[in-house]
Amino acid sequence: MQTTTLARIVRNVDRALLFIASLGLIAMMLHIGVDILSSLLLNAPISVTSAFVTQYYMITVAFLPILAAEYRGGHISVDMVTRALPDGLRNGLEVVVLALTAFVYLMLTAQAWQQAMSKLSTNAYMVEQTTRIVVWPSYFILPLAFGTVGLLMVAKVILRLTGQSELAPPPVIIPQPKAESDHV
Amino acid sequence: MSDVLIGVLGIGGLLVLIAANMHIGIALILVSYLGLWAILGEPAAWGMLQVVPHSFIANWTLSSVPMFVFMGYICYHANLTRGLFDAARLWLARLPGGLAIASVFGCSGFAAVTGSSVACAAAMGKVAVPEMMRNNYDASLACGTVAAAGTVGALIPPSILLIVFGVIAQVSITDLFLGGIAAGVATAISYVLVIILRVKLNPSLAPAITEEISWADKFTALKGALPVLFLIATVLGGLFGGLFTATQAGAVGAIMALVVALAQRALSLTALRASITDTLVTSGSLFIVTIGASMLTRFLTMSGVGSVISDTVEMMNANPVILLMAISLVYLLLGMFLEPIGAMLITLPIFLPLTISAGIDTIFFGVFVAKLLEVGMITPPVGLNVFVLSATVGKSAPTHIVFKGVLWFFVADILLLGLLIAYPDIITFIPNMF
Repeated sequence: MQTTTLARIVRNVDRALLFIASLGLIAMMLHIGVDILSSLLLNAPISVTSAFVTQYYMITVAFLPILAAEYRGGHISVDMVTRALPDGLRNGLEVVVLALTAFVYLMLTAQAWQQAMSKLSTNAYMVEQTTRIVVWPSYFILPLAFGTVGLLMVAKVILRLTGQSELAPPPVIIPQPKAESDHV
Repeated sequence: MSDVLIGVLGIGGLLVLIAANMHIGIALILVSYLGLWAILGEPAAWGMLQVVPHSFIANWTLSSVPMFVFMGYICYHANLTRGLFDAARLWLARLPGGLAIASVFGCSGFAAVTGSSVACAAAMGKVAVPEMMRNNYDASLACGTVAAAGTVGALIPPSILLIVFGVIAQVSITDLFLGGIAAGVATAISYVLVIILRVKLNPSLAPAITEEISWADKFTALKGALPVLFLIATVLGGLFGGLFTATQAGAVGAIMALVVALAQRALSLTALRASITDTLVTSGSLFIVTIGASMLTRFLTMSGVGSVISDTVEMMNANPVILLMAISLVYLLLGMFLEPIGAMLITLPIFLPLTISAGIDTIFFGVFVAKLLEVGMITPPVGLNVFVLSATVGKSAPTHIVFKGVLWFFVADILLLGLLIAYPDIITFIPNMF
């Protein structure tokens, strides 16, 4: 029962983060497209494009889907060695690796949070040409992204240690090959 | 403990963590953090964790990656490049192994809209392999051709591998892409020669096609390929003509791919959603590795391991050819087990300074490394292209059949690598023209 509630929470958070990241991806494409058109046709590029692309869209597109990559198992990893181990040892090793991964993500969360708070306190902005662009909100995307993955990892460790079933990834929209080592 | 020893232990620890199936990105971050802590103390390590992720990702050049990935996935899910294969199939039908040659052309065309070799192999696997099987082609020839030709995807621009290399090595993406064209075309030509040779030696591998193909059919098929050819010409023409930066070219490509797909009624809402999700999941797994690699570079520089290795190599007075051969061996081995971007990112902090001090052109080296790592995509035990192709095609292509088929192309790859070491101009002459 607890697992299903947890699975539902993870699925909803995953969807929400992917939705925001999708908006970031589409906005990035359109913003750059409009910038090129206006610079080629009107010789008037949008002055804030590069600031928006690097500070907002890229940060959204790069960090928010980390949870999706972890959750859907699309992360780049190798399992040649672990496959050869006896079950008990492999399980133990997997728990250690999961715990270390959780530790790294939580540490990154703490770091990113600290940085975001300091950017907020100085009302961080950048100036592109003559326009002043507030950038501190983009720093809060990192702790959000790292924090959710960190919590997912902690949940995975707890599920493993208490012997409960794993979180099933969501169904793939269109059956298609993925760069995974499942087929090895 | 000396700093160099800490660096060496760090590299060892990294390999252990990767072998224990930790994600490469996380393993890189963990090792770099602990390593810097041991060398400079906790505040410096803590500071690096804080500064690197945001500042490394908020990078204009790197933002071309999601744009090109998006463009590739739209083309993939909307099946836009089918027209290229169909046209090549009709025009090349008379050649020995014509369909297999057409699939090399198809892969090369798809390579010009995608940056990934897995996507390339999967896309042509869906289209070309069934066509070859229908014409009684030998399964290992059919599957081996597409699995191998998929590797052209990461050589012919756009190429995610080359963009990431360019960001790390701080060289022009446009120059790398121009070099990639030469390597990609040379690879495709070598594969076509392999096919012709094999079919000449054993005609039963690819029975000649007897159906009459009219000129009208040929030109209709060519018309079907026009929208994608136009897309490729605009994106690459704009980039190489200096009209766009890489990021702009990617965004224009994604927009045009959407427009073409919508005009052809080839893009359902589900396909669009799948394209977006796949792009985001790719970004989510890729960028954390690049962040980790940037941290590793800092750690290894601080530990001095890099300079010890370069000093040793300099003392051995190895010439560039020997150095490139040694590096090739390392990459071929790593490529057997690791995914290309991961393998490239954990090694560049050491290899890049080495090759620069040996006077090896960085553009050449980037393209050469991409080619080397792509060979790893078809070698056992973890040849991703082979597995993806086998999964796409289904029962008629078990992995051992595909591995058997790629063996010939692997031999061609090794010969081509030798040729590239002997004549680096093959890669650099195009970038040097601009």
